Amino acid sequence: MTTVDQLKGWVPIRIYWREGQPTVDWLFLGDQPLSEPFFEQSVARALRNPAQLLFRPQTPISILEEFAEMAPDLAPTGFVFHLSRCGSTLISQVLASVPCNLVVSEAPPIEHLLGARLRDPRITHAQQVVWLRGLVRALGRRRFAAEKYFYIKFDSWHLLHLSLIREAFPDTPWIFLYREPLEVLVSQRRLRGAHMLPGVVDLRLFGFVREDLATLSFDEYAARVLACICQNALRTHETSPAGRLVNFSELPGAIWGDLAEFFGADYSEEERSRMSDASRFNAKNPKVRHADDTAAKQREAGDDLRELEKAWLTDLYRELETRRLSRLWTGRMRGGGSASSRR
Amino acid sequence: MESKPPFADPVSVAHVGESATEALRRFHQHVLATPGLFARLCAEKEREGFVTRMVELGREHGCGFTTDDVVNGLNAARREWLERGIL
Repeated sequence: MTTVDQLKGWVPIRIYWREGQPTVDWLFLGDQPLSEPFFEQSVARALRNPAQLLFRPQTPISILEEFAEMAPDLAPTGFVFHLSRCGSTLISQVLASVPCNLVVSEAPPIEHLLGARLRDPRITHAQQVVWLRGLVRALGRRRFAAEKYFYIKFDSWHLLHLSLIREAFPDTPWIFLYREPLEVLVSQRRLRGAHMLPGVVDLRLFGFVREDLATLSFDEYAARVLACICQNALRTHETSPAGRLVNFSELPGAIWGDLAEFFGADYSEEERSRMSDASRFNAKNPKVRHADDTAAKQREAGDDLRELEKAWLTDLYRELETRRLSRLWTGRMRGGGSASSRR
Repeated sequence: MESKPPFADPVSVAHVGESATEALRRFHQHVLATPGLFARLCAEKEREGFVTRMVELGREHGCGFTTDDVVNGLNAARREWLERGIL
């Protein structure tokens, strides 16, 4: 029995450097689903079990090369990239509400791997591509017979690694989800995500140098990070027929409508109905009903945020919308999918 | 017992008493290679019951360690996990 066989039922939860070597940390999940809004929350739940906490195989990262060579249990159905605070967790939670979907949402080992070359220059680009393929194979191992589709929701800054991700998975359809940037800035001001705290995510990824930190406010940093992500989305979208731009306003109906079609997923009427039911609840706190916060965020935005939006984001948002609407109108002219929300 | 363990030592092994280190290491490898044994340990969801069962099963398989060793191992594993993003 190979080590890969032995790891059936185990999930990679972290890549870290142990005595200078990249190492994979595995957790037994068995029949425990990834049902929480974020991968890390499902891991935290599992780690409450003492045996699962204590018995965690640690393997050299080269194990991922073996995973990369195996036939995938579930090939990735679709990748979800996003601007942050724009409905991506709604997408992942709605998809996760039906048993035929395996959804991995912002899994830390993916972040560790994508950032590995910045941390360890010994790692080659080719290794990173193969390891990513292996990591996704390991995350996409089928643990439930009903699983047919496999989605990965990335952290928002992972869009800056899109060319690498596409190299590993050239045929996997991907979307970039965004919303009116002012509303994202307001949300980030309320509670900043990791990539909005200068230095938590490697500055070089966004094109900053350390000296920038002395002069940038948190809000300007946020605006420039969002701009960097939008620019990369536009640039990659231009050359990638596997990519689609999606506005928050298309949610939630597009998830089981146009996007399912785009991803090549065929859901039954019952599954669509379950997804529709799930969309009525707050994605990050499923005990609470979803409430549209667009108007509140627009009211909350002060002149300072509006100026930052204008300086860094308005043109990019307009370009994203122009391209998205152009596709929708072309589709309508050809008698294709609906351009409106199916809310 | 596995003659060629496929996995590196768990972080927790380095944090228990010297005399128990080898016994825990061997037991760790044995449990990972024996799904039935691992399932029995997973069934102990409460910490106290788990610690008792670990010591019992360890003894059955010729690995001598104490409840304190297991508690120290659990504490080390928990601490290491919580500190992973800081260190």
